[in-house]
Amino acid sequence: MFGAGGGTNSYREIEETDVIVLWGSNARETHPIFFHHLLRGVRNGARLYTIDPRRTSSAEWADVWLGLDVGSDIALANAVGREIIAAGLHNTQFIERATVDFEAYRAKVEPYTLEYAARETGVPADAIRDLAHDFAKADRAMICWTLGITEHHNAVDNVVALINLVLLTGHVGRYGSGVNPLRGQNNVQGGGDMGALPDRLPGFQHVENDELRPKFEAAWGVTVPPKRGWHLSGMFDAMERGELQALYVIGENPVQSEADQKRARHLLETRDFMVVQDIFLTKTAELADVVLPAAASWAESEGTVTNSERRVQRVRKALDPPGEARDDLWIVQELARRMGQDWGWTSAEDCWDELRSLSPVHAGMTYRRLEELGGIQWPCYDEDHPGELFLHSRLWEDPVPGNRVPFVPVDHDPPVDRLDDDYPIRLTTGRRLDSYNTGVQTAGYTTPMRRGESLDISPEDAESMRLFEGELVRVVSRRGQVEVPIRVDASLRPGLTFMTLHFQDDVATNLLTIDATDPKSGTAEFKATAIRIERLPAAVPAR
Amino acid sequence: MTRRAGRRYTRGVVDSQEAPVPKDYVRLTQPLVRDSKDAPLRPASWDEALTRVVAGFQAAKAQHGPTTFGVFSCSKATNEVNFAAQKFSRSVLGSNNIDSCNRT
Repeated sequence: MFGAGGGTNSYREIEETDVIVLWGSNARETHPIFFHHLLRGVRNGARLYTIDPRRTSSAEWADVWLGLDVGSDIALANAVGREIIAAGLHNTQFIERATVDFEAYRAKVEPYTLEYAARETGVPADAIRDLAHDFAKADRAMICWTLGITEHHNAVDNVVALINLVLLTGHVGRYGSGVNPLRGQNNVQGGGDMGALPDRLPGFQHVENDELRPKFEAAWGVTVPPKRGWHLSGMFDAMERGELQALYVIGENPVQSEADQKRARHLLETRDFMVVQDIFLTKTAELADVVLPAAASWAESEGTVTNSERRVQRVRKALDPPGEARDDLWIVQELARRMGQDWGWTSAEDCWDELRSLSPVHAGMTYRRLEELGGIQWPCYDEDHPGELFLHSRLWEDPVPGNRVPFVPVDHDPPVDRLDDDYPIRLTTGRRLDSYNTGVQTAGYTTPMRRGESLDISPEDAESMRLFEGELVRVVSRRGQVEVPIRVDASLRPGLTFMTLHFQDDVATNLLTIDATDPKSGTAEFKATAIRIERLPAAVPAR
Repeated sequence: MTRRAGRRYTRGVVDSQEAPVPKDYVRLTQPLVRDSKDAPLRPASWDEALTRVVAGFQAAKAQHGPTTFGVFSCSKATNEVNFAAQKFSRSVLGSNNIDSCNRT
């Protein structure tokens, strides 16, 4: 909606804001560094709303927890928008000056009454009204989200529904107000910024823009294909059609990280040719035709990474990679050389300087300046530019330079994997503080905080189904089944269960999940699986 | 009470608070190749491994054209590695089929 894919604010701004809405994010466990900044905001008096089907450890710090049903976020967001308009709390000056299509939005949210939303989301109408009024009346307010918003079949609509709320209230483009997706890995932000996307060249320059491609073609001496490629989920669909046969996998473990694991594994193992470049022999590497041993990006590599506040920071090499393992930049460059292209980089800085020459938002970020300034937040257009603390301040200029921002009206659309008599229970998945994704980087060491995989269920469901703590059960979805012990968890509401993806070797949670993906972002609906729980005959109560 | 046997859960009852057994992931320290689709991975020199990669990519391109390639880049790797990966995909392989694990 705004053009570039990045959070609008800096970490320090959440310390000085008035209302924080943490939506579909358990940042206490999944973004602990950011959560420290958030807690400072709470101590400074900010009111914290958490919106999550689970009463998470983040919710323990909140003034209000809104426990909505999985996948009902748009119903809730639209009701908040409708209530703000109905109460006359929308920022008409901002809307007129900086946005378009408000009337279409107003018409779209009109049916989303508090009563309708209460029925559809499970959140009491009073709580929805309080959120709407507190958010709209605040001087400064921020909405932060993570995978609870994006791991759905309608991920982009979910994000848009939240952005509509800041357009409605003018909570964007000013210090302490904005929208911030929290990034789950150290360089998710940078991967996109660098053009590791099927439709964007480095610096968010669209690959289908005929005026932008020639710059890259001149620099590289090649023709850049003018049509966007497939994103990750689209690539799996292309594999199924036989249109994608050769894979180069760098530092990823899709065999275990993809939804509907049986399908993902089958497609990867039947390719003509697959190269995996990694630091461990992952389950994906085990299927490769060639495995290239790489350097760890942390401690064994020179370069930069970019965090959720768009800050580019240097990482430095302290150790040589073990044995014959080699620096990733060397490997990629050597492959290019053997295939006829000499890129001429002798250091990571050479590579970075080439990027700076092609991406205007990074142009002013020399390694020297990154060092001197402790990192720089994009955009940074030249070597006198200090970078930007927050984005979109132009929306507060009168008249607004450039395009006005459109409201994008969206409708509630429940999860694809419907509940029925055969699969009556909702399973949602997520992360825990002590582990990381499929466990490749964390399962190799012990921590006193870690326990194994479990199916977490509410005390009410445990009682009505006569399941007991530690009982091994079979969990069945429409795609697969796993055996896993029960754990009773009072933070869950009846009908809702939870598992992680951390212990895929023991319990392959992604055998259960559905690969229904968002048509625009390609994100799978990891957050909403329909399951049933089957008792195993040998189970006996624990003493 | 039945305990977990090795890394697998056994039927019956387990202690859901029990810590899992640490995995024995070891660092890759040499390139690996396989001599046929059914053969196991075996150690190889960098020269042999890279020669095979180039041959594999060139064969795929000759047979199916550049849209047959997919590159999965890495959200843990540096900006520089991500820049290099997308440049390799677009300028060497000739494909925009590049993505990183920012969707999972």
